[in-house]
Amino acid sequence: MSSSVSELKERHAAAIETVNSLRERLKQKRQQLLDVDVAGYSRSQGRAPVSFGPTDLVCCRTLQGHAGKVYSLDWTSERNRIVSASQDGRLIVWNALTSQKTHAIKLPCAWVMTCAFSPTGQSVACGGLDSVCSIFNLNSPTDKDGNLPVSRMLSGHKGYVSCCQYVPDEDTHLITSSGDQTCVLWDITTGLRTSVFGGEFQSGHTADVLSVSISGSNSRMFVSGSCDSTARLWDTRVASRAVRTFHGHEGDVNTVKFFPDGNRFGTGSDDGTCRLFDIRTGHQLQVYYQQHGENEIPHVTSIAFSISGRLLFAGYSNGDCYVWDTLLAKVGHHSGRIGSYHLPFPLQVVLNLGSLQNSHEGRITCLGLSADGSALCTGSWDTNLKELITVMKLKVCQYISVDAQFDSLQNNAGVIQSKLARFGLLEGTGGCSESLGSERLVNLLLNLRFWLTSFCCFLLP
Amino acid sequence: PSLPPPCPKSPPEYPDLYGKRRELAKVQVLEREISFLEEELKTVDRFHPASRSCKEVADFVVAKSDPLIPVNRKNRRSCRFWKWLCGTPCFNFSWLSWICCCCYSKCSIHIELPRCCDCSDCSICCCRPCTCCSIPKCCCKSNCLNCSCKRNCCTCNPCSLFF
Repeated sequence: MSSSVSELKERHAAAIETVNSLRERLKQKRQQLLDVDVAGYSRSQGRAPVSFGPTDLVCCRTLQGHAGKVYSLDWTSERNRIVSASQDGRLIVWNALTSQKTHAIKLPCAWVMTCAFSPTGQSVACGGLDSVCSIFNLNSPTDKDGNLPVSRMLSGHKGYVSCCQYVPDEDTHLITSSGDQTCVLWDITTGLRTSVFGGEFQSGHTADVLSVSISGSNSRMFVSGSCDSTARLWDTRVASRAVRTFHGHEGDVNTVKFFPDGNRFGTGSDDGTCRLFDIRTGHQLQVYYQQHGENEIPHVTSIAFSISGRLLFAGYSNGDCYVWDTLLAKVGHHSGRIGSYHLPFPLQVVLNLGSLQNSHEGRITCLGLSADGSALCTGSWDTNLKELITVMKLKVCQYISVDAQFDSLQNNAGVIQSKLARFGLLEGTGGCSESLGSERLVNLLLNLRFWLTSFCCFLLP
Repeated sequence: PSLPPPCPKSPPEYPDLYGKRRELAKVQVLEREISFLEEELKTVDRFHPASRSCKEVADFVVAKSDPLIPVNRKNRRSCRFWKWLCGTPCFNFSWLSWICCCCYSKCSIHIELPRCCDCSDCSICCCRPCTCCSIPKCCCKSNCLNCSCKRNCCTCNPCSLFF
């Protein structure tokens, strides 16, 4: 005899209670295995904190050209190009070294939320409120209006496309996350869905999925972050269920990013914390959080790891961009406006790039490291992309702002090249060693002045 | 004779198949989740403790070179110098406080500095903690002449003028 609806509702209520009870037991067991976190372990090993000098990380250039909020950016895997997406309805492809715009792609739908470069750099993908992921081939001829045509539209999501990423080393497959609570693996050649992860009546996220990150060491594994406060690990060969669900956050998980070793991943959430999880055991290894007093807790909107994993860059809804030491997770102190005076003291573990000169004015929505890990680019609601290049590589203290007009690209190229050569930014110009010498001298003089003054005061009666 | 008023019949009670199927599907999803959780409970006992994962993270990070991590050998010499100069506690002398206006607590050079502002005497203080260094700052009100505040951080004018 089949069950009635009321009996089913009773079974439903009982099942919810069982699920909650099992989750609580699992939480208790996991708690017993958390004998130490990464910071505790690193302190016990006597790890020294990372210290930045006042000129080690400087904002090198601002990429100006978008007329609306910048929502997403992605680097190529080589050749130092960046694609950015803005709600002015355009994707712009930038040459990161020269700040020139190589493509300005008008989108069929202005409400774009994500963009990605293909591994070969020949295509870009984007998606947004139109629920479609659009692919553009950068080598295609433009149409009669001068616009780059869409080469493929990936339709099938029942909600907005929040994030997309190409499968590493495969220009033909990408993964999207969506407000319809699913992630989808697409075959771009056919435009069809290869696999759907989650969804109604499937075991998956129970709210909008906001972010995906594919493992660089095993491209079959990816993680997703959702408004249901969890992150989930998926195997692309098994779409019926997540490999593991990661609990801990107390708000929407806005961003997820694999750790460089491929066995851990980081998350950023509306609860103001970033966390590090282990994919094999499910352990929460570290929480990165700074007290903000009585002020409203800023949400973490985007994260990225440096190439070694030692640094975790986190963008927040209040425009801050913190640089966390992933090993020590300490909140340090620094001298404030790094650009305004050059103290000889080494900066502490956490650096707030938001306090630098020429920092963003609005919420940081996206950030990403270049493939070689030497440059960080941040995007913001103030419509600019800002690029910081480590001074260790390029030794630039000056701020260079180039607003190359797209129409006069050819004319400006010569001006840009000469500016860059002067500051030693062009490869092979040999300018780096000159700027290195002068910067060292300036720092030495400032140090000397400070120490002498301190000595004099110390000796005063 | 007038006809009786129309009295349409109620539609027959069809079985609520749509609602029943949805409920059944929801129950099946939950029962599947229960089996996943029971499976995970069995396997979690076999996991190693977090310290092993922490070691793996630390070993990986330390072994890999990173262009964004500065290699600064000069810090060690300046650290020892400042430790000698400052002692413990550092800068209790108020006449030195104008040199150092922001606090470095637990920093590698162990300078304990006075706070940016003693808010008990400052009639224009709002005393919200600094978002960068957790120090009560002099003020963040727009007409404050003594402090320049950006993102709730205090930079004391005597120091910035000096430098």
